[in-house]
Amino acid sequence: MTASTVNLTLLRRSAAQRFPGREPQVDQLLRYLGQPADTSPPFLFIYGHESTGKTSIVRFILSEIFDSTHAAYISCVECYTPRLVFEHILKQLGDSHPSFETGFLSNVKCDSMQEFISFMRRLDGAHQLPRYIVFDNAEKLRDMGPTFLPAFLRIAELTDIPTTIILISCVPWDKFRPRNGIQEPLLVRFPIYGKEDTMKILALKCPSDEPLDFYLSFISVVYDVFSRNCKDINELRHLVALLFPKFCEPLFDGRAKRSEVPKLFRLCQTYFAAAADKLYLREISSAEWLRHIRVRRPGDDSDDNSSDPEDSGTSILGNPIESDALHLRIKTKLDFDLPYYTKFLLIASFLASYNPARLDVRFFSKGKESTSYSKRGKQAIQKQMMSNTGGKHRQQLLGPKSFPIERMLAIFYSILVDPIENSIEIQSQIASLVTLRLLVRTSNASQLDGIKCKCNVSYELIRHISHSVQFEIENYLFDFI
Amino acid sequence: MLHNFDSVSEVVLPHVSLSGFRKLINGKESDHLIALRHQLYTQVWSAIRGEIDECLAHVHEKGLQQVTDRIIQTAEAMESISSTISGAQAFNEIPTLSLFAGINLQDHDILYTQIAQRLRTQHQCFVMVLPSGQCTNPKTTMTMIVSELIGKVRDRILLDHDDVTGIGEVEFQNLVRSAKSQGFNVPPSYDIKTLVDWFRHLKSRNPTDGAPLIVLVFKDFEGFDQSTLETLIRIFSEYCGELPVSFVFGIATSVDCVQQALPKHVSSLLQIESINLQLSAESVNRIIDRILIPGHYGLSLGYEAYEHLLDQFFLHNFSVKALVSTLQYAFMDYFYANPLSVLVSFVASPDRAPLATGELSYTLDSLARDMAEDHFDILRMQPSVREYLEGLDLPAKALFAVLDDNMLFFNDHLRPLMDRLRHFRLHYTLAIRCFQSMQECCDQSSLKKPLRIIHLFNLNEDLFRTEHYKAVTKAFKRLNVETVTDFIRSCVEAFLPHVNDQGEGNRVWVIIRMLQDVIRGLCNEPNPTVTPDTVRMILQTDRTIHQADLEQLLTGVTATQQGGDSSDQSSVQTAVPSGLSAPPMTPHRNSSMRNDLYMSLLTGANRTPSAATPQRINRRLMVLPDQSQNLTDAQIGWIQVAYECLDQFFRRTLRCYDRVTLHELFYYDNKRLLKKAFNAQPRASVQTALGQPGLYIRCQCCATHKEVDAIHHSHDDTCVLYKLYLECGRLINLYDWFVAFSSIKEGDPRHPSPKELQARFVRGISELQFLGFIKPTTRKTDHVIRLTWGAM
Repeated sequence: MTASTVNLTLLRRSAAQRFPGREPQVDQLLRYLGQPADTSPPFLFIYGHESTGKTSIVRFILSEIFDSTHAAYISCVECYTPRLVFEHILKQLGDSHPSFETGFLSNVKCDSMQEFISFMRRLDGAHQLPRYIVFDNAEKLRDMGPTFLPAFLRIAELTDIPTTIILISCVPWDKFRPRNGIQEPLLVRFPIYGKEDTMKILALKCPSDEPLDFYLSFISVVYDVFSRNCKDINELRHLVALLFPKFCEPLFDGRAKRSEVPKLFRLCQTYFAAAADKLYLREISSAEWLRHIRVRRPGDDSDDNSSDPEDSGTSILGNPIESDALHLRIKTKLDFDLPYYTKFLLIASFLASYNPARLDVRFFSKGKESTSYSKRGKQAIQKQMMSNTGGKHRQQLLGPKSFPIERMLAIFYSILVDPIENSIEIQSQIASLVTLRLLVRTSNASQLDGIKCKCNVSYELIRHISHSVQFEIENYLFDFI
Repeated sequence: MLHNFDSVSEVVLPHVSLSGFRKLINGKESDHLIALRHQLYTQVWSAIRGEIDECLAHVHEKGLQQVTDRIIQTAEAMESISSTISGAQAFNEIPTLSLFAGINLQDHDILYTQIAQRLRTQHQCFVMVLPSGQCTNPKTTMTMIVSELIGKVRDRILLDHDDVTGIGEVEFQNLVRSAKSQGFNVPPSYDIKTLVDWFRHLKSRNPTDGAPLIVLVFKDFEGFDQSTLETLIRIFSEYCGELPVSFVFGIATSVDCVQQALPKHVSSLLQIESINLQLSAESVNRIIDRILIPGHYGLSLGYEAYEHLLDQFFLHNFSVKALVSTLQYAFMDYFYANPLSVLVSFVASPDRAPLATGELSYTLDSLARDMAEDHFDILRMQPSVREYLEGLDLPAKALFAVLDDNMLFFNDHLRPLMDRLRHFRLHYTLAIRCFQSMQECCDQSSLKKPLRIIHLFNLNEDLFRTEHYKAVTKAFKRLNVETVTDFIRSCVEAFLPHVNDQGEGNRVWVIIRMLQDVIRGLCNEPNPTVTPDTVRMILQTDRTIHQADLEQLLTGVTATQQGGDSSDQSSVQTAVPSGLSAPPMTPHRNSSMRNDLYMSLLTGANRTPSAATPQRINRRLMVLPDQSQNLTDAQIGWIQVAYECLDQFFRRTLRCYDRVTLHELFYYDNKRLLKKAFNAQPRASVQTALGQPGLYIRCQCCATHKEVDAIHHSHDDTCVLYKLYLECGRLINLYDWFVAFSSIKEGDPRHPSPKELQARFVRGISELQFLGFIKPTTRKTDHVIRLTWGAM
């Protein structure tokens, strides 16, 4: 097979157009890969943060330079076993996909590296062009056994076919390097996008009926607001897509003009806050957000049509209702209810997790204790804690400690207002708290006595719960006294 | 109470009938009645079970519809979003619905099966319910999902083919065969690519319909392995353009758990919407409302048992399943242990009365013949019946006849009493619902108690004596006239059909009729014959009616009676005393006279105005609300009467069940048994068994030892060891223990050899170790550590 040559300058130009701000990386890659028939480096390692364009650029370049039977792309997330990795590679390089015509049967069954190598040799009998195998999310390869990755990296030697392995990962090479030594890869680093590049990328998605300058000014506002928390380009794109209609809303109400960007920003500010709060955490899904926007424009069709025909593309934008983002505070906190005694069980385990065990007598004994003693006791304990940890560390900051179930039950029975009998119900509720992951079992599952647990509940939640049963948890927590 | 029959008869009960039901009353119960009890139980329970299922289905219905609609909508919205918002598709978000279904995981199974069923049948979705237990790693999970989905796609393709072109299973097999001959003989691995291929093919077959939606239901989200979830989400998100996928997360706790389980870059691949579907409390409310309060089947729960049921649910487990089984146990025990349970059909409401069929069919008369002398004795022994008989105030001879003649007792007393109980329940049910809607009219949320709580109050004591009742009536008086009118109208409407069904009149019915008049008056409908005062007068007379007064009043109004419409009168002729404190003498006459009186007073009242009314109205004006300023005097009068009528109505109907004669028979109240069955206390039982073995082993010798704490050689070895153990400290020396043990066992007349004693000692010790009382320690040789704090 004769290899066609590819116009690299043309390719470089189109890549630069599609991927703004990635010119150096594209150049570097093209230098390494060269023409289809060129000999290629055995091992490339591409790394950088998430959504910095690694996968898209590699796939773009490979698809432009080589035909599909010469480059296999493996997403290690979906190939979770070695067998899947082997078979996917073989299918792609051999260009055979199971289809209805073959009864969805496959002609490849490959379980081990030996079989894979022999299959590779057979595949490549005719043409000796270099092969490329791309592993995306390559960090997952480390879980497939200690010899898996080293063997792949020497696949060219093992098969006598020029093969290039390209690993794409968010994890730096240092975390991959096996102990027994391996050839070092050529590194290509994809740095995080700066503001300029980000703006350029976001501007690619500018709606066709909006002036680019206006859109850019909006993007720059969004970037300035959110960049401190999040530079992920996908997230920003998500926010831009959802916020832009809100930003434009005053334009169509006639409350502002396109030139008055600061005013628009001021009008939209509440939504920005809401977005930072809810949208970013996906507490409101984009569909809910959209529905919310739509709800607030009854009888819009006639308005939009009459006012401005050019708006038809963006007709989801609102009508003159006061722009109050408080609407957005949709009930997002769905609190869950627990049975009365289960709440107390949870409170008791929270106390057991966050209080030192030696103070249980002081907090929970029914009899009165002399205050002087407890004061001294507290001081002594504080002193000890200071000396142990080099300063006072609140347990709240250190996280929950594990506790034996018996201790928790003792606290449970002492904080209850009306005593109840120990019954099977209490035990089964403990078990159900464990299944709900509100308690985490720290002792071994096979160990039946001396079970130890941790309380996996935040202080806010436990305060909410104890409030609902009128229990003053602050009075019982060592950290708050 | 009733269960004493059981224990009394235990000694003589070798016969156990086929059904497992035993002969009660010292084994004297006839086989026929046992079979009857058993059949009644099966009938009643299956009917109730059906009704419970209906309740659950009803409660679920709305939520289910909401869930399925939302799933379908979001899936459809995905496409519209990508068209409205540029580039939204690039986010690869998977539409996800998180269902907050409450913490009781066992109750959810039915819910998710229903959801899946609905999606499959109504929307032709491919639904998979994934249990967390089987999804421990990505490989097994994906294999499970893909293999099942491929099966479904295959069925769909082959099915379509059959319809359209006739190529079906056979054709496909041919394809497979030819593929195999070309070397394609490896079944595809179950990975996402294979699934995508199948779907692509399905789409190409019928491009117009589009591919059906795949819904993956993660039943108990908390239980899923986090890395598995992560992998699944990333894979499906990658292909969400080609495979229309939707997730459903069944979340028992809060939305935090999604954020806890998934890292940001994964959770941002989900487009999560939430639906709150915590239905268990609602289901329980409905079950109580539909089944326990009306007692259609003749049996209800008494205060203690009902309280236990509620406590179990609201304080302990929130489990509908557990509630239903407790209920079933209560019903079973009732029919099992109460020989008088055969009477249950005669207090059940007529449309649902369980009547044994076939050989066992019976009537009240035949039953009376079948019942043995002991049945009647037990009946007469019930405290409420005794009270009733004493209250009869009969001459000694007549009383003796009632006590002696079973048939007389049965026909003249038991029948009306059972009818009375049935009417009490009917009125009670309607009234408690009225009372609830009265609460709803009030503004304060603190007054809006759920029906189950009002019922609980009412089982404890007469509702009108409670603070809650007083507060509600007080708040009700502050409402404006329109609300009151509407409320009364809805009350009357709710009540009327039942009164007519009954075909009988009584005092409750009279009050309802008065309320009707009140409405008419409030709406200013001209009706010259009725004024507030006449109604009030009836109310007054009705309350303090005596035979002499009645006759006196009657003579005063008979002259005017001709004017009254007789049609109304006919409907209220056959009166049965519903009242709980009804005068025992000639109840029929008394009541019908009262109705006559009512009719006549109504018709003649406009001619006999009362002189005392103006002052009374003035006095009552003080409590009327401000809105009443612009009301006419007549309206003020009417509304005042309305309050009185309602008060009277509630006072008559919402009474505690233990005021009703025969309540012991038809209100199940054995809380202890339910507790024992469903709220076991393992630790306490083990300790009792070891400390007081006589309670468990009914041997002869144990009965002779009176003192509980003494250690006797005839006790079981483990018990002896346990009692010695109680006297020890934290560390127990095994040798000392053994010496003490053998010295006690020396009293045994068999004189066991030291070797035997040692063997028995070792066995006892290991039993104690197995039960968790001791454990070996390395801290001190020949010692064991004590693990309990003694008898707690």
